[in-house]
Amino acid sequence: MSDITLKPFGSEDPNKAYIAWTPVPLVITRNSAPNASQKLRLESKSILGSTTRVVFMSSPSGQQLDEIIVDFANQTEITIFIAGLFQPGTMHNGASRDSKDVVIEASWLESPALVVGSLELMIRVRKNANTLSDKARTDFITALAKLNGIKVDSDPTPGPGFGVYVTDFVDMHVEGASTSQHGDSHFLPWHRLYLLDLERLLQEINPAVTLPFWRFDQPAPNVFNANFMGEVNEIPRDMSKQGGAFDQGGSNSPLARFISSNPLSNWQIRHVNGIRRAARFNPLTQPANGLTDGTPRGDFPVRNQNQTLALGGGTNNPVNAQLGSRINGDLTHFVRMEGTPHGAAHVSFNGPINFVPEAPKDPLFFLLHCNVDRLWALWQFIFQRESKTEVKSYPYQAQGDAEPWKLANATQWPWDGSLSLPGDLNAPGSRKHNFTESPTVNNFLRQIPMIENAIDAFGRLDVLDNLGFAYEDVPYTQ
Amino acid sequence: MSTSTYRNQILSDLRLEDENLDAGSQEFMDLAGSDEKINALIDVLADKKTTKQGKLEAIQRLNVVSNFSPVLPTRMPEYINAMRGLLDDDDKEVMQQAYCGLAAIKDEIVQKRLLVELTSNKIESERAIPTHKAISLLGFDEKAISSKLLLDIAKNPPDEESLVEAVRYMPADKESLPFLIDVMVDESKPLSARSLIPGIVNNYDPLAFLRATQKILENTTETTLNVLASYLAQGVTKIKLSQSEEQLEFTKKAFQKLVENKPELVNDTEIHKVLTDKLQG
Repeated sequence: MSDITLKPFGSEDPNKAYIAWTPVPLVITRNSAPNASQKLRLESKSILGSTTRVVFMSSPSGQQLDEIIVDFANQTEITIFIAGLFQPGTMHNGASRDSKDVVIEASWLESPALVVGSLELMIRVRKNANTLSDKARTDFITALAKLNGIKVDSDPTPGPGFGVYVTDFVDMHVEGASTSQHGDSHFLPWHRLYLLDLERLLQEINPAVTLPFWRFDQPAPNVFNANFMGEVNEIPRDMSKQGGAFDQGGSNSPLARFISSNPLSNWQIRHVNGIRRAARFNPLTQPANGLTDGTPRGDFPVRNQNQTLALGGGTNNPVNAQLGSRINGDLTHFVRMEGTPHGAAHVSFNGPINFVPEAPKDPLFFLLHCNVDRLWALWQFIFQRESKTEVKSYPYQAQGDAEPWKLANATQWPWDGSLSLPGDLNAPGSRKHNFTESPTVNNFLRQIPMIENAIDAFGRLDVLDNLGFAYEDVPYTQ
Repeated sequence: MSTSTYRNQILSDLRLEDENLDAGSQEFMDLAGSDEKINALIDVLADKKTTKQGKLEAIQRLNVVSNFSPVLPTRMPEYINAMRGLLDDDDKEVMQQAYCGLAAIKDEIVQKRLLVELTSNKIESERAIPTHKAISLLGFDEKAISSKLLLDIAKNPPDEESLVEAVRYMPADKESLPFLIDVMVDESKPLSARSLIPGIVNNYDPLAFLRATQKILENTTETTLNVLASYLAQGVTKIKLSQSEEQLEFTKKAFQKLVENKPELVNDTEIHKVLTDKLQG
């Protein structure tokens, strides 16, 4: 045993050596008997040519240091805090590409050349799907396929189309539950929770995996190919043109094409093969751009990132930025993004993805929504709108502000086991009281999340609220 | 760069952005949140005097806002009634849009109509909805079409598209398996249908899949092999060898055939290792 053991989250389990931008505890244990050496230096070393680095803090809100010296006088265990160093302008802004690529090395101050303890880490964040490494892409689609029930290893499976992805995640985003999930400010937190539940299941298969996001306001040639999310036919953006009619749910649309070694080539929803999808844009060279019916009032484009961030109303004075709500029928401020870019991105295709109750049958759904969630996270970061008790961050704080399921402290269907509204659906599959647990961060009471759990997701205001995920371009701030 | 500089840079980039939606998007958003406007569009659908263009535009606008409208879910009975009224519309395009819209929400009336169409003796050109389209519309609801009906259609399809759709929605079971294998090995059947089958069969009965694979590799043409071989190789890699001697023997034979017929395929790095391990095993 080495002199020093480094335990992220207080654990020696290598599956817990995955951190992001938010400070998390690192327990340092001295295994040897006390001697003259008392002071220990911890420093970050990037490996395999990566630029990934860890920073150290004495407390979650402490100053970020490139190295830290701790004093073992009269103690055998010390807790400090670590986080990934956000490095704008570098690949993934300093996050790991696809595996553990940074090491914390410990050495006694008196013998700096002798490493007495070390820990390999991954700075694990959600990344742009178009810039994933081959390994990150393969890891993601393999884990996703496994949740579908596709055989990707020697583990028994329920068979393609019968995995938890279908029995739980397809079946919870259905017609009878739509009001519980859409049409108002709860749209963003509900979907944040939905994505996280799936991502944690992916990470149970492979802890290096995160949900990638599809930047629908940029061309994505590395996403829409046969190796990843599938090649698709292009159809007119104009619904009034030949071949451009809106095909709700995609019953008349061709299948996306995959190479046979891509496990998604075996994608099924129950016993139905393949993913119908055709794009109203050329995804290799163009961003998604919604649709039109050929008239000026029928033009419904996808707002780009800056246009979306401006929706909250804080461009000239950040103090004015607010999430917004539905007032007299109309959405206001940032939540207008449910219409565009969100809705416009969905209807940039024909296929299940253009119709709410069918949309998750196409796994592209989760990449699209990951970008929707990232835009919210980025907006929250810019305007500091993470307070779960302030109306500018989330409008429905008290009874009477909105329907009960939209209140900040409302438990959420299906995890709470209630009936969805207005469809009266039971929780599908295994979701009841079963939000996937994190091995590292705090879990929800009885595995039932509330809206407020999704608002300070990175633990900026309360580190205990950290949900354990991050985006490559949304840093943690204090 | 500090995170505050990073934030300020993004904020500065936003200064010139318009906080308002463009006119078209605002129109869709207004529609999505307005009882009055949604009701008006539903009325347009229900009005016999509405032109074809007016009906199509109303259907498409309702389709688009269904993704984010809190109002439309509360008007479903009216919407469904109006759409049902279009099932007998004189214009074929309007009628088909009504079938699509209702099938997507698993409407029982449209499902019954589609089943009547599929089981009628009409010739294909006289059907309100082509067979392949009717199958995919019923496919929105897995309980809406029986595997027996799919099998009946697939055995005597009016066209290639109908065979492909029937196979795509057909579950593998002991009744359908012999048929699926027959299609998979039959050179005269369309490759678009045959290429759907290896995964289905392999998942249900790996040994039957291997036997069929071997048959294909022994008898097939180069064109077929080019399309099917990678699916077959992928299937072979997923066979569990521990199950039986017979399975092991078939897997080895199937692999040998793949090596002989498609060496470039087995050189594929991902497939190569698994197949080589099996052969050596």
